[in-house]
Amino acid sequence: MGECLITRRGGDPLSFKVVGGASQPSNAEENTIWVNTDTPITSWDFSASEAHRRSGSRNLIVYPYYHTTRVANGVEFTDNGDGTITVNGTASSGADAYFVIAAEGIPQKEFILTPGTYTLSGGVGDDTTNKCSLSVYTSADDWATTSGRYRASETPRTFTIDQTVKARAFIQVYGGVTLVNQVFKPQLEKGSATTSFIKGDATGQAWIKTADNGLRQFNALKKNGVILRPVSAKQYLNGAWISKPVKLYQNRAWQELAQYLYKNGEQYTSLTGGWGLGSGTVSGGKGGFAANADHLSFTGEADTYYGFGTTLKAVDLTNFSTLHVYGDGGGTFGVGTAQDGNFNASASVGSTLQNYSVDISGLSGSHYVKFKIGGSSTLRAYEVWLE
Amino acid sequence: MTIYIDNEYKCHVADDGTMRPVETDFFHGKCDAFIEGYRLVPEGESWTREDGEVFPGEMVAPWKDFAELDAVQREYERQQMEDMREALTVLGVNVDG
Repeated sequence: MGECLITRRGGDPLSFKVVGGASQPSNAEENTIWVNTDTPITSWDFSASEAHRRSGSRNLIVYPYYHTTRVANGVEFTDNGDGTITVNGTASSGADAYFVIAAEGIPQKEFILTPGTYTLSGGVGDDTTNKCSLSVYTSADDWATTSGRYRASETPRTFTIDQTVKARAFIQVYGGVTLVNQVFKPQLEKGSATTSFIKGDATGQAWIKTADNGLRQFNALKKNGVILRPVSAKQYLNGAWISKPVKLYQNRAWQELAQYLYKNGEQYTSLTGGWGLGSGTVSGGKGGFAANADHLSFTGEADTYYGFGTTLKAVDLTNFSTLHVYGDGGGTFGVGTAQDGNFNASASVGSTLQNYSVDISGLSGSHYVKFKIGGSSTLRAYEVWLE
Repeated sequence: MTIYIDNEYKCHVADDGTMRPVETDFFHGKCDAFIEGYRLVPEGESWTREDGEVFPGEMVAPWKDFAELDAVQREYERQQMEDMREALTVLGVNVDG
């Protein structure tokens, strides 16, 4: 058992304990999280100092920064409050001046990057001639070594990392160099493109370093004003990360922490907008839709037509990696950006009543969760959820 | 259309001699780079993700960041449209009207 602290917007802490084991614990305390592990977990060592934040905005650099307005080695760094930093002054000869944006070894201030391609932008001048830079350094081993050093001047820098790393960021003005009203706009974006500057925040994922030498990811979801909500957990077992179901003991009952979109007649309307037929057509037909007492049913149209059903609102897939359907019948389910029969990721539901899954780890942002049924088939969905 | 999958179920538009063909209509109208950012698990088979999650086929899902694939596809479609307009211009068809 261990204790953990995750910060809500505004710094209001949400604390909970984590327990492991193959059976549901009895006599649990409020706000206890149970991870259904194959073997009991006895040595987790959570602490407030190990909760990590990550920006939930397009700019992945967490704001507020580690440093605020400061003077260092003769250089004044002004935090303008909008994510930009104005730099003035001459760095003392022989000593560089630093403004730390995200600090190494301070979990609330460093941030986590998962494998992928990133672009760093918002530096000034040319770091060859101006002798100043905006840098992101990464480490995969708790800063025993630095795995990557990426610098941006006024020219953005695109780089790719192939493993999960901790990252720190800083502005550096070399000794003897003078800057006059130079404005840095530190921005780190997923992908290889640079878009307009936006201030980062601290509403994203929380990562927790544990005593058994691994990182557990608690996915975040924005809902009802609570910014961080754990919806899944991973256990490092036999050399690999394994997804584990998570339950939270709250209001004297064990609550599922997966994000359900449908379950036992509940359509989770605040998130899905309800369920219904799509607004467009595929091969001419829409098919049939019924919200039954304990399942949704979607039917195709006779002959060659398709039927399709969908959430009536798009759902944010960011921070989720898998879409599940517990159902049977025959048809296709998945996600797409319009309420039609086209998918960006899809999988089949077969005649056996079971859990069917589709990998959505490559997708983020708003998507409709949808079903597509051919001919006169029927597909029944008893549960639909994201993890 | 026919695409090819490797032993990790990643899609390819050409066979390097180690792949196998799969018929699908999922990629109709998609460019090569888009197709090669996807994974297709055929019906009756399954793929196990790094975290241990098992996905039975048939499943089609991007293994690259979809935002990048979407950008490539949009550029491909823009180029296709431009090519078509040029062809119509050569034929003397007024494409601005």
